[in-house]
Amino acid sequence: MKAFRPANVVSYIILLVMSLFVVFPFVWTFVTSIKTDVQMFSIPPQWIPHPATAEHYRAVLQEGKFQSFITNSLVVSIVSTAFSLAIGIPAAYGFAKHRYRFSGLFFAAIVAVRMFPPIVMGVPYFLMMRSLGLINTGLGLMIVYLPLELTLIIWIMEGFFRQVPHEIEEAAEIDGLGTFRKFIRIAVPLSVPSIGVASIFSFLAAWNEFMFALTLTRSESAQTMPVGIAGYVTTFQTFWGQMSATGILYIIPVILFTVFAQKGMIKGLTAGASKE
Amino acid sequence: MKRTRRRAGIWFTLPALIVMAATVLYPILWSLKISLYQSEGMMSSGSFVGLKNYAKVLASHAFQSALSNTLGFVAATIIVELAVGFAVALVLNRNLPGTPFFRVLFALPLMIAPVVSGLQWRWLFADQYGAVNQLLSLVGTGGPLWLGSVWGARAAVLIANVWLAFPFVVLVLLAAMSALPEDLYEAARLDGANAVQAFRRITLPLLKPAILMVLVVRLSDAFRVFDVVYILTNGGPGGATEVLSSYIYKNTFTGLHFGQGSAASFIVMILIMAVCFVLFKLMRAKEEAR
Repeated sequence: MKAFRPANVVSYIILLVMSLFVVFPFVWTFVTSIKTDVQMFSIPPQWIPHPATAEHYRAVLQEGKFQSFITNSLVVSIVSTAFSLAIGIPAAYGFAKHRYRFSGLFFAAIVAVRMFPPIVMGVPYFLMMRSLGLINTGLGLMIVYLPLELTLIIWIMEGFFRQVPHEIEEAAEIDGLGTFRKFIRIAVPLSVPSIGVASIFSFLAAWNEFMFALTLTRSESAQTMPVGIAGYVTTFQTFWGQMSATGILYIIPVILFTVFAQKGMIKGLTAGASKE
Repeated sequence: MKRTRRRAGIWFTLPALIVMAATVLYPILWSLKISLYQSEGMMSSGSFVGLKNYAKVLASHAFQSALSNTLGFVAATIIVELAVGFAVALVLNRNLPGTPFFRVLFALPLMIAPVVSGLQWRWLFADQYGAVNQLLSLVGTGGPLWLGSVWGARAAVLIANVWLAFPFVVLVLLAAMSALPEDLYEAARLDGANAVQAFRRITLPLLKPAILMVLVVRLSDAFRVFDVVYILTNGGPGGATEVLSSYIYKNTFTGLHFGQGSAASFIVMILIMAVCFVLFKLMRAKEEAR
């Protein structure tokens, strides 16, 4: 059989080992989330808890913090992404199709922001938000997420717009469409799949961000999910069960999304690789 | 015609440029100013001290050890990620049955918040109740005190970070590999080249742009690592896993040395830019030499 060639056996061993490495933390978090506190600290650890319990999920949902963390995360991520798309898509189109004197330089500068260590912005953002009275507000977080999202959106969308053939645009011009109507009627509809990819990555950047959320928010009225979940593991007390239950609830939507939208996501992640 | 096209470009890009100027350029200039002033405590206005903050940071033992920890971490994680990522990408590129499934599976860690990964691994690496040491005892060796020992904690940070980052290497290399022209390999086979020769003479040179992109993205990400360290070890034990970002964070928001924090972050920024610049030069020089 072809499948038993040594090269194939080695390949499958590599795939299997790496799959276990990837899946193991997820499985263990799930197992932990359905264990009682006694089972959790049994030595040796139990692989399959018996009986399983939903007490941590119940506790997390009844406490109510989870709902406010997830609401904050959703509002901040969705609103900031919508705003970033509204100004990022035209910018990407301009950089790709209507070059002007310094446009190349501006584009390079925007992409280079991705290489900055965000801690550089930590101090000025904190002082800025303090003087604007935006500490511990969703608005403050949305503002500091804009550059993170804009760099991603402009990077992904510029690559797409550059591939739109000139003939289509010329045909639109002959039909008498002006520059802006050409953008709205031709370029945007053509790029819907890419806009989807860019939106997902922009959303995830805000959804997963931790450092700014940690420095700019203080209470559950504004804290987002990453800060909230980190709160279960403090110097004084550790709630592994509730942390795991929260973690599972937090990542399930992302995992489902990855499985269903994987083609587009992989394209977005590797956008830079195929550009060269 | 040409002129209206250009003017349109300015209008299309202007809103984004204004936002970027307000949210990146302005804060950076502000930070630069802070780094040149004496500023202890919450007050941001002190006397002008020039490069004193920079000198203080560079001379401090904590910064030097954070710098060497970071350099060690960056080197280790890049090497492991590239080695693992290359192996997995080569295997996936063979398109064996089941490949689409594995591709989705390997993409998962990329979507997960680093904080969650840090928490998961912290629980996995717990010394008594942890699953990792339990697994190790099944194969007959006791695991180390992961988070309590110097090299155990460093290994834990490395493993948690490789888990988060190797999928990126896999996906980028895989995308580049699948774009390689099939007929080159055909020709090489006809000339009697074996698989290793084909890899060294065709795959590697043609993948250079993708590898460069992986290096630049992953280097700048590894240099600024924060979330995983903060959650997993918080720099401990005894500063063994303190990296530049966590050092700056503590110096600024716990110690309230805003001036030194800003100075340190500019030093880090210059370092990253220098490394990326050298990388670009090296790759280009090699390309021209051939």
